Amino acid sequence: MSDNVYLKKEIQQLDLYQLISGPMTALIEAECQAAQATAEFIERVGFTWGNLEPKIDITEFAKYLKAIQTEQTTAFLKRCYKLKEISENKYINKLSEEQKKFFEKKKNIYEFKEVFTIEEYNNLKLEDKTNYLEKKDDKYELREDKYEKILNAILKDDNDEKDIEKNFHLNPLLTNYEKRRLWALIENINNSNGKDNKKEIIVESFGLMRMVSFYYDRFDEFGNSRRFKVEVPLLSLIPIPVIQVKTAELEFNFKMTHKEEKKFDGKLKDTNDNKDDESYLNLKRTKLYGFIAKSNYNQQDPSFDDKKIKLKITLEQADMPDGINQLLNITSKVYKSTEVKSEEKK
Amino acid sequence: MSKGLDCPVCGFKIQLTIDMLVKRDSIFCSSCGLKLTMDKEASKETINVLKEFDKEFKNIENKKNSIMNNYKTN
Repeated sequence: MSDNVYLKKEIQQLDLYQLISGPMTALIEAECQAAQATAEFIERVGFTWGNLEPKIDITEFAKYLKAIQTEQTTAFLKRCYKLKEISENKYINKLSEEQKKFFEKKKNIYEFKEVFTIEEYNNLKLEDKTNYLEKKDDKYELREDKYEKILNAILKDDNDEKDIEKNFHLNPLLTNYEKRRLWALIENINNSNGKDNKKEIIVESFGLMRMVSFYYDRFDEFGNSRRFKVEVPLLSLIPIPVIQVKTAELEFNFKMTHKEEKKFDGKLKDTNDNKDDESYLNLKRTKLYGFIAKSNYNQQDPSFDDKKIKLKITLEQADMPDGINQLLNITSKVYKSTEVKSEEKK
Repeated sequence: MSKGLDCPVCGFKIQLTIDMLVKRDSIFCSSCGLKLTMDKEASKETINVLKEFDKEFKNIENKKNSIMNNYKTN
């Protein structure tokens, strides 16, 4: 049997369970993305950082990053760059050529902070601990997923401040909230080095609600016109897009070639070690194997290979999750109506 | 939970859309007729964010429509 024929046979004979679970997994991922989009919408549209918004000083931030990249060795760099490991292990493969060159250039300059002692850990802020570090044995290490996000966001190009600024803002891997956390982390380190601590407040809250102001005039009992101002949170005014999958129809013709019966032997195995072993699910489990069959038989051309899988997804506006409902209840209570004094009227 | 602004005089829920907030200067309560004028200066930043969002939303709608049209013609 030639390789080609063998391969074709392998592909055609699919496990029905996997055939169905593939699209289902994709659907779940789609739902996750929809939920993230909703969260992003609430954060971006509903909240503001006003004068505390890190974006205002982003040029300064870019300069700061450039400075620490070229001159200083800071705790932030020790935490985030982890150059030695990056240049030697799997991370290097994920970086662009430019990034690789950058690491090569820098790896002799900085020391690497891979592990934190208990004392160092205790000196960190709570959210830094939970978001950037994880416990391994008795020590704390920087979370791997955070490395990639931070690195990709900041270190894409070290030549130009504008590029750093652009990457920081536009990198889709960082949400606004993470950008602020990162900003706050840097500020925190900066402050602990005895520098200005005016931006310390940034990490402590989620921001301010964006408000819409209206005013209206009313006459009092003496016939005098009085002006009132109403301030309403924007989130309580506009519909929040919460989308979910309503139905999903998966349609294909399946021709079964053989089945496999598995019987439970009475011993429960450790599923971590035996991920493929599903005997614990059912006492008598049958697996079906086959291939996608032709959906139409073409009389004019019998060799015509028309195999189709149809996936039809219907989305709908979902009910608000409880958490968001609570948030909206709070926003509807933040309702200010105050009288505008005559000298304030225009 | 229905969205909108509770009329400060009669309590009627005034339904609003992003378009209304972005384009109109005033809104009226359908129940008591109260005229609410938007304070453009105080709400400037909020309206700018909404405009930006509205623009993005319309871009996505256009893209979606062009994809759907291509799909239909094919």
